[in-house]
Amino acid sequence: MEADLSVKFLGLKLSHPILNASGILGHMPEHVTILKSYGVAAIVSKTFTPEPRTGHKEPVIIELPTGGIINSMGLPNPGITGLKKFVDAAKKISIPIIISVGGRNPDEFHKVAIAAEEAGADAVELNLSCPHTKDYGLELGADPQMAYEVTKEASYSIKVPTIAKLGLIDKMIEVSGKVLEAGAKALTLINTIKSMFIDVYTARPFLNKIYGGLSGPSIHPIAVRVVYDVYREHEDTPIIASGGVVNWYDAAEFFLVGSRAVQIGYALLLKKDRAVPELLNGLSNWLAELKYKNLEEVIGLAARK
Amino acid sequence: MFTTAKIIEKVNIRNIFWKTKLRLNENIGEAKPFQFIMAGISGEFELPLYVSLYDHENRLLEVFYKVRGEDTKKLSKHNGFVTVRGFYGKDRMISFNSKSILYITEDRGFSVIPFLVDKANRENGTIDIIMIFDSKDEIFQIAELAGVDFKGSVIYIDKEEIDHGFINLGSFVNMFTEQRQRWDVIIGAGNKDLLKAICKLSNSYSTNRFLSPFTYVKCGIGACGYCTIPKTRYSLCVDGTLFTCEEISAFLR
Repeated sequence: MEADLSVKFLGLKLSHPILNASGILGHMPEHVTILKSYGVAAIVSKTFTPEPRTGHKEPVIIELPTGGIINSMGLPNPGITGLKKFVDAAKKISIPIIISVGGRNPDEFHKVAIAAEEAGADAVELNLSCPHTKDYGLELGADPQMAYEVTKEASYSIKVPTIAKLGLIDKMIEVSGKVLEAGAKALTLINTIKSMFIDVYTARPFLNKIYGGLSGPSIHPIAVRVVYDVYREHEDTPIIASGGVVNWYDAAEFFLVGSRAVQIGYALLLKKDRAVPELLNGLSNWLAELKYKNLEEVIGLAARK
Repeated sequence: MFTTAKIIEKVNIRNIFWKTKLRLNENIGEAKPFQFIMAGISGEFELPLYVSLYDHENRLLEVFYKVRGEDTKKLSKHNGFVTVRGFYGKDRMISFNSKSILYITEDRGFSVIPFLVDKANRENGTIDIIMIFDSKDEIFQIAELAGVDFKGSVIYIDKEEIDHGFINLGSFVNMFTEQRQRWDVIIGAGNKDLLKAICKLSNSYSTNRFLSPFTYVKCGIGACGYCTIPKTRYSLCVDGTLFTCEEISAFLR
């Protein structure tokens, strides 16, 4: 018998638990069609900021010889005036849409969150962890008080659920507690990890802005550890795991340590429209082999106290 | 794939075009016509450049570009090492196999000419070329670029004359086509107006038509979405760079 992979959280009923990670396409209406064709159950947009941003000057991305990528896109996006068109495109083809919200301070997060809700988003994901864009992320999310204020400011005036996306930080347990206290209904863990790549022939950092965010298989075990730690502290909070999922085994690990859904980025770049069907097929076979009827039964099994 | 490369030869044409030969430090696969690389200087800039020629065995890569801004100017003055990522774009090249191809191109599409000519020669095909220049001062002979034995016909057009109405590109190419046998394939590389004209004028033929639109490329690997062709579900860097008229008809409309 085939296992049921559908999941429910934040009032959304998703046919399966695989979403794209923010940053993979996600700012043009055309991207909605492309992401839907990849088979994701819901779409997460690129991070929208109040004003349009062109992003960083190239080079902005490097594919590492050992696998994975480092990116330093610099949050390019059309600003909140581009939200409506993007959300409408998702509504038109009936796919749930989560808008990633960015800003430099609580006011900017508030402004974009409201615009996202007005545009019709099903949820907003606060980007509290961008590792490569100065003033727009990691600095906010690493400070428990600032993370609290941003989350509170963004979530108190909207009805749709707020998800806080956190990066790899020392005070993970404290910050996750703070954002939940401030009104976040779910957590996305983790963002890319601040990193760099050196051109050894010119003795210079390759990326234009020196630092970038590492994603891909090398961050997966770190992300599993973080989800495990946070789930054990906040068992009732839905966690969306993100970090280096390439095959079903990686995704299965995330469910076992407590996540209810998984975001993928690198896998989509590698496999395009093969990524999601391969994951779902593998997860389904795994659950059937272990005689589970649905995914819900395995969530958190490896993180029981 | 990422590698570094050493500039081993630079040839300047008409002061603004540069033909540059690079030796790659690592093998990054085999290149096909209309695939491209992202080339640049670490920490400073990166540009999308069509592959002009690639000798896989010796890792010798040729690119051709026009100086149009700060980054291309820096590249033209640079000696030593550059970074190379690629090869990007789908391998969608039509085999020549005794076929005849017409290539209509402007600007950065000139880069692909050596690759196409070389392929035509190897596969016993023929290629005719229409090169559209931004101004008559820029016009150079194809032999300066190709570096391989070109046996086809070539026509040089000054875009200023098209802009001023002295030449109608559509009727010009129609006239050109009437004088010759039908081509098996027509390929166009250029801006939207040119590609639109190519689809329109060759619509009456049963010829296969492929287009390589010029668009802004930022990441090259399908992540950022900046080269998504508007009103289509295709991104230039991963689904192109060649498309059929039908695939991008919504964009061309």
